[in-house]
Amino acid sequence: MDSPYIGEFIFIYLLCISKYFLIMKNNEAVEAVKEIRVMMEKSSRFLSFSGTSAILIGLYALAGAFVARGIISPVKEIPDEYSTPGWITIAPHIILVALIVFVLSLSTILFFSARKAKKMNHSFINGPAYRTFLNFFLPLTVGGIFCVALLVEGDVGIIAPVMLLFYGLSLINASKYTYGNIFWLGCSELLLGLICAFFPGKGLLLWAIGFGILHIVYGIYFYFRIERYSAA
Amino acid sequence: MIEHLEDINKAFESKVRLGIMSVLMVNDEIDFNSLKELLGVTDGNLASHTRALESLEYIVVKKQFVGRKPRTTFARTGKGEKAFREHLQALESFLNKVER
Repeated sequence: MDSPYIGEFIFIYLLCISKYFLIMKNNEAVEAVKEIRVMMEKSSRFLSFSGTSAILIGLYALAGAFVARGIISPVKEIPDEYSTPGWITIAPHIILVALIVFVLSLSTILFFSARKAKKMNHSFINGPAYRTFLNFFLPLTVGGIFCVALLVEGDVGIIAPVMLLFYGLSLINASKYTYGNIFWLGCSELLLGLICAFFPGKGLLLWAIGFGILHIVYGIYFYFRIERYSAA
Repeated sequence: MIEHLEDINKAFESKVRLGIMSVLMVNDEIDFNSLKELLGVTDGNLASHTRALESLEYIVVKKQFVGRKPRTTFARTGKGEKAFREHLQALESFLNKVER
């Protein structure tokens, strides 16, 4: 006499099972998609980058620009005259400061990246790291040699914009193999480089903004938006 | 709902095999040790999963010698790429169905 009720019970029972099955399958599918995304990112992009190193690089650049201003200011009185004896005596000092800033920045980046790779338990030198460095240093080296040529030719006024432009292009080139948002840092450097090209007298100031302030801003953004988030 | 589940490839039910294919979709080839490190699995575990994918002809295995050391690299095949895309599509349409 209960037969209609039993039928209904069985129906509800089956409904519950299928609903449970659906939810489980849904979780599995979501997990699978997550796994695919993580593996694709991890295997194709260089992710052992640390925001702290960007902040430090910005500080080195600001310190370098400050020192360079001290060296330049005595001879600043004669614009557009870079072959004067005053310029020739200070040029080696400025190059030395620039080299120190460059070497310090590079070793800071390498040190912090190696440390982060160790913390994240993967090797520091892998395919994506190799591709990132190659794609970053190719345009940068060309720019560096170009700057040496400008220096030799005495076109000192456009070295600052050329450095900013080539650095921006290097960042954009490398952004395909590391964090994508480096693209926007590269674009900002390009914009500054172009502005700088039209204001030759403001080279050092714009250089300090591009290599100092922008790195610090990017480092802070990176630390709070990406590093914190991925650590949690 | 059932028809979407049918397209979900049994070969990719294992997390390791899914990982191997994901890595090979974005890298033309990868060597054994890098893959092992990425997936966080043991030698034997990875070997058995790559063998399974190889027998399905989803990946190809290349063995060469670098100096005296053997080096094993993996690459996806056209068949593997197609199977993976279909699997992704099935996952996607399944998730869309559930959400609705």
